[in-house]
Amino acid sequence: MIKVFVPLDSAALSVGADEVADSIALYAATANIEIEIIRTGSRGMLWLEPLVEVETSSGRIGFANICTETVSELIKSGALETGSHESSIGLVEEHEFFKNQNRVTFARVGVIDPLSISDYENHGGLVGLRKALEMSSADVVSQVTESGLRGRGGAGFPAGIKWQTVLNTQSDQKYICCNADEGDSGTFADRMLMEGDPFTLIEGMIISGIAVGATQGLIYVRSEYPHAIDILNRAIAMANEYGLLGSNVLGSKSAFALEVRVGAGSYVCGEETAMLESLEGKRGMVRAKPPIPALVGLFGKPTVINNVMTLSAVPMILAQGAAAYQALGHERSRGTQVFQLAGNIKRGGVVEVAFGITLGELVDTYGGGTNSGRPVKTVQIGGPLGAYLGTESWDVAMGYESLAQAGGMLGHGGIVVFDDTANMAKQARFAMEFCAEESCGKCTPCRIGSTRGVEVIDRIVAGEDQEKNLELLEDLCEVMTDGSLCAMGGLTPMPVRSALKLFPADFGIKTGAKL
Amino acid sequence: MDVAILTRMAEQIELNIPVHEDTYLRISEHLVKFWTPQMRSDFYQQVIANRKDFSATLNKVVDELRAKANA
Amino acid sequence: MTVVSDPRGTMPMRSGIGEADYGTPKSDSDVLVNVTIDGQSHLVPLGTSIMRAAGEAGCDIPKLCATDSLQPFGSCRMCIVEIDGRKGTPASCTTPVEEGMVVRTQTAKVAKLRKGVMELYISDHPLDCLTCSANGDCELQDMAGVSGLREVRYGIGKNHLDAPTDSSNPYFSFDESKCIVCNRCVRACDEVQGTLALTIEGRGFNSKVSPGGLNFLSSECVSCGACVQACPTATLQEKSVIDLGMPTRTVETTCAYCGVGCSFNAELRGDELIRMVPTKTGGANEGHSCVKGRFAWGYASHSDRVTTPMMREKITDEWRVVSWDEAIQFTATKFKAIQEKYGDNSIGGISSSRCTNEEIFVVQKMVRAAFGNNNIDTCARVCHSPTGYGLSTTFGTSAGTQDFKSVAHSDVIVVIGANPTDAHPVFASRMKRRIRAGAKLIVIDPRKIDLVESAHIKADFHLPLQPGTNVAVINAIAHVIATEGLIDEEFVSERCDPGQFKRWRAFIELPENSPEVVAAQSGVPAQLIREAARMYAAGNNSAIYYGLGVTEHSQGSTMVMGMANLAMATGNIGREGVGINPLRGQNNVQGACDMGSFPHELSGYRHVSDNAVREQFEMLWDVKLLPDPGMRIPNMFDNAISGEFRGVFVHGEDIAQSDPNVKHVHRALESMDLVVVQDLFLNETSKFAHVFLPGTSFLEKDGTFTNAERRINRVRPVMAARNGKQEWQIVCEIAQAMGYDMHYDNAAQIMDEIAQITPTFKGVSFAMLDQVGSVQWPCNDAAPTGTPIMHIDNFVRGQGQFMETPFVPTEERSNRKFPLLLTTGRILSQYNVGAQTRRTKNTTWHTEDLLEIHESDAAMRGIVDGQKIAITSRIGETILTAHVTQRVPAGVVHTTFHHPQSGANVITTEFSDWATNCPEYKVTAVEIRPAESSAPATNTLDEVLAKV
Repeated sequence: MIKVFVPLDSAALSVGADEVADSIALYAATANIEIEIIRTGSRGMLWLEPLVEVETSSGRIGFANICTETVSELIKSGALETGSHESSIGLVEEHEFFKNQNRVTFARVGVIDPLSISDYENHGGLVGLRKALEMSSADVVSQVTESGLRGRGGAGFPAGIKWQTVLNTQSDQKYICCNADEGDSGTFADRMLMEGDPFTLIEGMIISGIAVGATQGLIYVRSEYPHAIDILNRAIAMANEYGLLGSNVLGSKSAFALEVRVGAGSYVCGEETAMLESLEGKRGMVRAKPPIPALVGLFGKPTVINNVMTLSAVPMILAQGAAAYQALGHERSRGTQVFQLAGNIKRGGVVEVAFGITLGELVDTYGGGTNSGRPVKTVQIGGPLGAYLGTESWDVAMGYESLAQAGGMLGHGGIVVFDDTANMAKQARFAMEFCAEESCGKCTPCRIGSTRGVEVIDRIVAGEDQEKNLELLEDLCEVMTDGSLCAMGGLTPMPVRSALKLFPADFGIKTGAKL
Repeated sequence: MDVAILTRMAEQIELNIPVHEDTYLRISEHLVKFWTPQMRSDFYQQVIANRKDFSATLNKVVDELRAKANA
Repeated sequence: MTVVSDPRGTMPMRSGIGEADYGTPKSDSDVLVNVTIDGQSHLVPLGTSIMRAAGEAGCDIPKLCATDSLQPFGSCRMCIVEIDGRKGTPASCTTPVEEGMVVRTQTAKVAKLRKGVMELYISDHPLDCLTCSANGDCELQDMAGVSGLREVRYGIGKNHLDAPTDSSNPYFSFDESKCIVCNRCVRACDEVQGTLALTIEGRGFNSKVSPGGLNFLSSECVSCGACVQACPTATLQEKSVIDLGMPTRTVETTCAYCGVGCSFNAELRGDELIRMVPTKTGGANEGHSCVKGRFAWGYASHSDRVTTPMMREKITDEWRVVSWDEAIQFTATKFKAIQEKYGDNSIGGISSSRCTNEEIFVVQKMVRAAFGNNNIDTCARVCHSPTGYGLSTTFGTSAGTQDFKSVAHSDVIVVIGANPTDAHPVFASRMKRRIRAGAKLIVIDPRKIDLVESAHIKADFHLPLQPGTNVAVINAIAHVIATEGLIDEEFVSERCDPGQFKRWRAFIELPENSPEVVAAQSGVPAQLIREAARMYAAGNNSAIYYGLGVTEHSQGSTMVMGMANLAMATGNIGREGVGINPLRGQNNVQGACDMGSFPHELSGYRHVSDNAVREQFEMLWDVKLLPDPGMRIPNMFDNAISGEFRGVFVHGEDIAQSDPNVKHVHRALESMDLVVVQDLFLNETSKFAHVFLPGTSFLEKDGTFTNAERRINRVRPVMAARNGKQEWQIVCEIAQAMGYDMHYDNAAQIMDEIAQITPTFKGVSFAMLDQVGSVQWPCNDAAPTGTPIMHIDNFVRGQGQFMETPFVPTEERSNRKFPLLLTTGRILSQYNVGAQTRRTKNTTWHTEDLLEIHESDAAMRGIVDGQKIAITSRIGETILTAHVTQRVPAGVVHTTFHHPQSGANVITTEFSDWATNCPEYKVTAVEIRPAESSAPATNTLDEVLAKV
């Protein structure tokens, strides 16, 4: 019996992984070869998808970019047994993109069957939860605090402190809300984890519930992720049946229920308070803070809101101890970050490494430069509202503070690469346009400012009263940055200002003009 | 005033006051409190003239009220 | 509180609006924290926003989306400040003060940001301030000034300047081009009114206020005006302001519609009323209003108003305009002549709950002192007389136990025979706010009223009982409480009469009162009754609110006592959040009862047979008073028909339309020698009148109204009396002409007399009310600031009195000939017989009375929605339009009585409450059938009568 692994990750499906799997089954049957096809998540080497793997005595060997046309040849050649074929990339975990990564959160993604609890347990799953069930709430929270884990949604707020606040707040009901409204351009780590290893997220949320005394969890997933939603729902059903969820988690006295809620295609619902409004069935409009959701959150109750990546780091922290996680990283950014390489890049995908890696290493060493082969002009980190950085920032160590110092923002860890043909005035305009499109419309700077931003940039590019309009754009950026209610309007000036500063020529501004 | 109306009013009051040993007193009180003297005297005359047509309680009410009035 | 020393005086106005706005609601915290704002330190309650703390300290922070009637929102970003030790520029509305906080409201940074934000606002706003209807009353205009904006640099860009105006609502328009999307209207509709008719549609720059549906008129909007009041610009604006311009002076007064008694600022220019704006300091409404009080005041200047006295010899004659002197002399002479011929008892008066306490007091005084009898009754006879009987018997006071605010502390709210969202909308909004915050709701009503299920409100239990079975159901609820060990024994033994309790307990535990037996009588499943009973008993604070669906039955008084029993048995009396609360139909029902206008009682509910009390009045009035009760209204009618009662003074009540069995009423009126009607308009009753005395509208009156929570509110003359006289003056002049010396210089003197002779009013005077705003009686030496909640330590009567409440079904039952039960009610936009509201644009919403009929009953009779149908009782017949619905249960039909041509009372019966003779309006056995012709019925009341 040969074990064949075919990804079911959306990225692999988009290039024909399902058809490949069907085809393998068909040809194996025809050739009378006994195989077991196991659907897994993706390894995160997206340019190799569909990446089919077979289990061999030396480890799992991968065959890249398999399509239905190459399946018969692959089987006929005996590659499933020998591992040798022109599409073979050798041992997957020895691939140069992969071997130096430090997969903590993504340890099981691409490896296991996402909908097998036994597979999950065999690969170290539920160890953290079992430990947590033996500990006091306060001890669980201090483990998370000591690990140095910070919110991976972008704000980087220490998770342990947030949990402590919820733990300290008396209430008849508390909630754990997982923000899976992964809307930033060039980000896909949440989706890949939910599709490839949903039990890690589920386990993380249960631990969080035990830590703060919450018995109800909700995962807010964007509607654009139908596969993730389906896998989560199936995983939750299995977890309920298994007794992982329910009134006695793993036979303990702790209770935890979990539900998936689907968003409605609004970017701003990734903002935590807008997400709460949406979860309450209202229009996704940002709430003013204070009160913070940890005190007054969903339906007015104390609520932990964390990103998928934050919650999914928790099982490993509990399993291996806070110190192990804390040992990784750079300055005040501890542990690993799941970077996502996208845009005009040769090798796009997921790179989970400890904080501290340089930007240049990520783009050049891992990403292999642009896909077009042209020089890199700039990268945008942290989504559509992140700053643009040029190659002069290649030595910046990736971490919350170090990146901020360089004028950037880590955000959700997405890195989008542009080559030298990109027009940055258009990109700046796009940032304002995106804000105008996605603004919830509550606060004035964001609601009106973004539309005015588009108009002012157009005037600058058209050469109308350039000096006056540049001053106006700067004033507008200040009003939006300091005056907006949430990060949506507050961050929109980041790409605008950085594009203007790095590439004034793209705006038709003569060198030496006053900016 | 039409004695038929007075009779109906009195009977309705009797119906709505629960039966106890002091029921006749409560009905009497009610008539004194809310009925005009003319209504009461018209009603007394009606009862006295047709005692059999009225309940024992209403007969007792009238006797009680007349006794009080004379006292 | 606004203080008006001269009732006609002018008050300073800030930007056209009378009241200061601190931006966010007041904090109730007792903990004070020290905060430094612009170098000055202040002590403010914990939870106060920086904005409010600054405002109270006299240093206003600019704002647009904040207003103190709404929760902070934080959208406009005009109110940003800097806080020492904190990053950025937080919004002062959403940031609460903290101990030791140091706030700077005016720095170069915030000044620049505010100016930048204002520049954005103005870049999408018409620049037509000078011709804008809100010119001078626009917060955007004010803030543009405050921010120092001098130039908008954005040039022509995307904008909303061409957005259309929605003028569909008769009273206000929505000019979207002026909207700044501050959400105040949306939040007011949600937080203040609780209708949630408005929302924001679209995202980002395309965000806009939307009423849902086609326009405001076709939306869920109830036209309460909260959004218009909340709007900081001209976007939502009263059409009267658009047409007439900004008001220049303000007089605070009280609405004359329902028993909620909302306080309003009448805003005028000269003698022209421009708009009525609810005042935040109003004790009953705290800044809220409904479509009637806010907008439906136009009847006061309607061309139908009669402003000169009129007379005629016979009711078949034409009216003749006469002088006041002639009318008064004629009236007095005729009344005296009647008395000489037929005896002192042959005349009487009927006072009106629409009038002021002072007017009512004077009318009853005229009857008792000048007429020399006790034949004074009030229209409260036909609505809440059972409340008086029931609550005084059990508790000792003829009034509701709570203030309206109390409902914010209720955990379980029971609504019985009332439809607050239509009939008492401003109180309903308070109630809905509490329900949305988590209080449980039980509705006991045959109909599926809006409270049973509407936006964000769902009753936990709805008991859809058959009309006429209230007492059975309340007994069954009490039975469950008594037999399931849910009685608050401690409360009962401490506060109530033990003998009466023992009797009651034995009675209520009888099997005949069990839910299982009552289910068959009432149609309410036993389990539903049991669960509702348990919920009521389990609430920490359970409150009962009720309306005419309780009182207007042949067992109305029994039902009131049944509810009182329930409250006593569960200890739900004497603190916030509990009690028994009548929702009074008219503005001054409470006052009419308080002022001694029942035939058996002098003011303050003291029986005429009480020698000591009577002597005090006799001394004060210098006249001998009779010790026996006078005639009730139905007695007057009966005696009129039998020829003993021959003259009546009818003060502002249309008995010929509003009283039951109008055929009988008409016969009574026709039998009289003198019918004097005092009213604003000729009405059904005036058709039978010999003298018509023009009255004053509430905008012309000087006096007080007492609302359903015993709150005495000032009614101030907003404009000169159109008829040239205050109504109390007219009454005094009749008394004078009849030979009784009755004279006051002003209305304040009447209140002084009331206070002098009525212990519960001892501390009340106009001067006092002008100072404190309003006060709830009892107001005397023991309670100088009034009594929001009654029976706190003891019942007024001493011990609470349990009363046995046997269920005696009405004789009015459905049978084969009349298989349906008709019940009646009110609709939001109309008021009672419609004399006022039909003379306003409120007719937009309700052009005729409809008969609600269940679809199965309709189908059985081949009746379709909108069809004209004939409705017949054993008393009479009228024609109405059918509205086929599931709102009424099968077997029950419902209509309103706002239009005289509907003639609902043509068919109501002579049955009445056993104790008070309050008519049984709520149960009439009827049959319906399609009307012969589908042509619009031309059935005026007279024609209907002619047919019958």
